[in-house]
Amino acid sequence: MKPFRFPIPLLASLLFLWVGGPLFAHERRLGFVTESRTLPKGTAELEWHSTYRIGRQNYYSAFDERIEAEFGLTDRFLMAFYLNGTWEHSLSAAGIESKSMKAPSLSVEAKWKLADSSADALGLALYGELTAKSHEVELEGKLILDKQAGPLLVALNLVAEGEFAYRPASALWETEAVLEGSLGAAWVKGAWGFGLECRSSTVIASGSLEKSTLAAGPVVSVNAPRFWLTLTPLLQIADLAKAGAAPNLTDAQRLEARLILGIPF
Amino acid sequence: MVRRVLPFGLRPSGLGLGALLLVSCAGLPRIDDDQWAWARRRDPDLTREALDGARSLYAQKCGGCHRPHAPAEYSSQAWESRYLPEMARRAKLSPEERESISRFVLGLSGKPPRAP
Repeated sequence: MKPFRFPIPLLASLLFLWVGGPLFAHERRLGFVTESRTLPKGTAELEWHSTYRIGRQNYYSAFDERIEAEFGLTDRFLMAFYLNGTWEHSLSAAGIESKSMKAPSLSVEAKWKLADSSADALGLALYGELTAKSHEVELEGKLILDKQAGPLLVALNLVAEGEFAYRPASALWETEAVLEGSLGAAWVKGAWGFGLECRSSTVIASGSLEKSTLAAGPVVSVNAPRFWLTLTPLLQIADLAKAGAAPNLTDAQRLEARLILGIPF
Repeated sequence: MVRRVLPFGLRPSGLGLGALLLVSCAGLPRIDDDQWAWARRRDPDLTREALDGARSLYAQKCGGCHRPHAPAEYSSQAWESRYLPEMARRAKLSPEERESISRFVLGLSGKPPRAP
């Protein structure tokens, strides 16, 4: 009996035909970089964000899962609510295996568009996100600049994030600051989009530099009548804390891949 | 002389030129005399202010979900029969908003690109 072979070319052709027609469906063309656009008033979207992190000095893999419900409150202002979960699996240098599922957390996001990326010279939006975990609060602020020029989209994000965690054992608060800059560009052709993204991320814990990395990778996106998908694998290319050094694989991963599925409703 | 070179061999002057080029490439056509005159061929009562307002509304409502396509990318027949009814439903446009956006996309559909 012939072994079953998954008909990948056939499925790929069907997918291409399925998404090839509609050009007016919802879309997101970048995975890690946020665009300034906000949903029109009265519309809503459900998104699933799945981020896979792998590749450290010792074995490490993690999944960050987020379910988001996004609502356009006005044509320039949206709010979104997230349910977050993280699963980690790692092996220490001593060979001790650790598997953990962090307690789920909730986030609320607000985005305010000040200028439009197509109609104005430059798109501009302010973004804020608050995450509440058990004994931990995170605040994130983001400045979004972008430009949609015909089929070309270019977006820049500047992010500042503060994490405040209470440790009951020591009865102390720990603080961490994250500073990020990310840049992305995508070329849209029909339902498909192809591009590049890069991100620098710096973590300052309790006042001292913990890590600073630079990652980059391609992005592929597609939209269909009832959904859109974006996939971005980011590969760490430099350890910015040690100029010229090899990637930091001690406390940062080599690969971080994000898949986002959006469904308007 | 000190020459400033960014990572990956990029030069500040090159980046500035690229940014200027990008900003100057508007995603949607700006409403000038030429655009307005073309739109009035179909809709003689259309004021320039109304056309400008319709352009902003189109960017807000349609560009909130996807890249707002330039009206000239499709024929007026395609806009009228296919895209406008479907998108008005999805973007939950009021009758007035739909009318305004129709005047913009139908007015400028089929407009040939400006001669250099």
